[in-house]
Amino acid sequence: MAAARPYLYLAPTLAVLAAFTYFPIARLAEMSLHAPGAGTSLGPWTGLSAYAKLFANPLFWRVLGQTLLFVSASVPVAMALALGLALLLDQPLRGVGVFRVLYYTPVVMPTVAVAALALWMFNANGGIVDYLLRSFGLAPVPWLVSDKWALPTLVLIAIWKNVGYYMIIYLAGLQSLPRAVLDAARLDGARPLVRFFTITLPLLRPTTFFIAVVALIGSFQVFDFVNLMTQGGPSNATNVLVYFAYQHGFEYLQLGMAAAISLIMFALVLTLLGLAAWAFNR
Amino acid sequence: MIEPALRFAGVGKSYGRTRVLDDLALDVAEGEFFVLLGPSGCGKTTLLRMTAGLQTIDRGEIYLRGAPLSPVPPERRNIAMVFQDYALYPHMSVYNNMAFGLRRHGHGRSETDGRVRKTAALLGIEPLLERRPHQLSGGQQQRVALGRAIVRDPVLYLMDEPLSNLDAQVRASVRTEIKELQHRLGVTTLYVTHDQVEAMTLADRMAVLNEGRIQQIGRPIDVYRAPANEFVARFLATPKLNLFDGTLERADGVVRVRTAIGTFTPSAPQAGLGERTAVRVGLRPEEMKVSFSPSDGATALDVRLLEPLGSQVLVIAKRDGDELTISVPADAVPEKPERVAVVPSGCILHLFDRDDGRAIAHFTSA
Repeated sequence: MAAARPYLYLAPTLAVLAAFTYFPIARLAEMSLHAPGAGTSLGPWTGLSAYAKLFANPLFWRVLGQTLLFVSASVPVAMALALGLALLLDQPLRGVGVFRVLYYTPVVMPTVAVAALALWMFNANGGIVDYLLRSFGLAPVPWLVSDKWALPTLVLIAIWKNVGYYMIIYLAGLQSLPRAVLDAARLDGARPLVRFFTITLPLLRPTTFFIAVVALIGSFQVFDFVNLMTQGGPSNATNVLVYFAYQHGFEYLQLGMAAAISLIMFALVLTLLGLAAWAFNR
Repeated sequence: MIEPALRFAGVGKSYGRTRVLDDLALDVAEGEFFVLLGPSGCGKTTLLRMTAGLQTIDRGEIYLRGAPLSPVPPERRNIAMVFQDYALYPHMSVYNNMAFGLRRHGHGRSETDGRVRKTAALLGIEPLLERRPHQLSGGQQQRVALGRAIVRDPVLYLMDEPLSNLDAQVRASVRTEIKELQHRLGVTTLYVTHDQVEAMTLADRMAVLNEGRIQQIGRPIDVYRAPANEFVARFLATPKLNLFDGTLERADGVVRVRTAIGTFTPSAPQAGLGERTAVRVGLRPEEMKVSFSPSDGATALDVRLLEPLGSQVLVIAKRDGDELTISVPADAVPEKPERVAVVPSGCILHLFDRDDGRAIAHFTSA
């Protein structure tokens, strides 16, 4: 009985997770193998035909590529920026707390507000970003309306929104580093840059891993900015997996396809996280 | 005069309005094992960190072999430091912990390897070279930390309470090891501790610090025998110094010291007592003679507690408001002693000025 007690305490959470996470995933898998039925019921068995259709659709591959591009552009840049800012804000500066708050502000702003602000700033007709570019004698950029620039613009906005969050975690990581170890490295003759690469960065490994996981999951799930700002356009240039699944499920009412896309993304994220865990635990 | 290896000239440090160190002057000779002893917050670690370059010097200057240290960044001071919590690089093997500093100073692969292995052999840590710090015991970690300092062959070792995180037995053995190593290598060492036993056993010379000021500098035995003031006497007494108000009585050219626990006469005439009549009297528990069967007329105290330490027993006795701690050989203590009295002859007395605590005289009673 005593041995069972810990499991008893774990059970309620597990029950909630089962009802709202594991069951929906299983249901998703089931849905991807059936034609849609009436309401929430399943239609006839279709096997892997949803997947086959998806893989034969060039747009799916394009969307997948754009998602990976979004992730691989926004995550490393945001993390590197966050670490740089955290290093700056870890210094014993006067008023450093004010800067910490300033850099963290975008994180607490609602996405809708950020999106509205970004739409206004990056507006092709008199947005402030273009205004600034012009005042430096540079040509304006058709930010959100060109299929070349739309995705990079979303990457920029996502970085801007997330960097403060990663920065706070890095800052916490930096502040919990053992000071004496860094002092020892100084006395051992290590200059700042060497200290950073041989001591600080390796000791921040657990922090980096945590941020990488959070950032990977978060940026794979990017949906709100796409939905609020571009609806995947222009001509699918900013379409990403979650938005693609949303279109299939709620616009084209192809629930089987939507389920298949979701499951593929789920598997992809799981694989990437596994790889990340393997790389960090080596 | 030979130039000192390390010279502190009017060194001061303040945090805001608090003066942590004040006009500190101190010379450490080449090859000397010098201990800074003091309670926590006395500024001894600050002094060490200033020497290392980890803290700035607000006033005065520190000279290493004649050269001022403040313009030199810690990376280029050629000083090695051993930290209280070892401060090993947790993500590196023992080998790399020791090789790190050598590589930073541009030593080649074969020289680095040779020096790491030689130092490891010296410290008996060769079997540990491939391990990570978290796989080592505290004693082993501190040995590696010593190795990391030794391998660089610096001109000065700084040690910041390197033994205080170790348990008693390991502490004693590492202490012996540090002393042997330092004698063998002959490198000037500045060692910080709050533990008087460490100071006494390790130091060639020591300085006692309190509230940012040096109270006394000298060989441990001299400081022990003749503490410069009440603070030093109290700090260098285990478990504690017995302190009483005393009155000097002069009759027929003889001076007597009257206290609540008895009256003492110096065995030799004491110059320097002057005309004063009021003093503070300090008696160390281990520098007193007592009797458990007090004769009539002796000032007897009630025995309150016995603390057996093995060969010695601490006897804690009381009389009115006064408490007295005496260290007595275990075989001299009767079964259940009730009364104890201080034998007036053969005790060592330390007399201090009642106003400023300065030492006036140290003598054995007749």
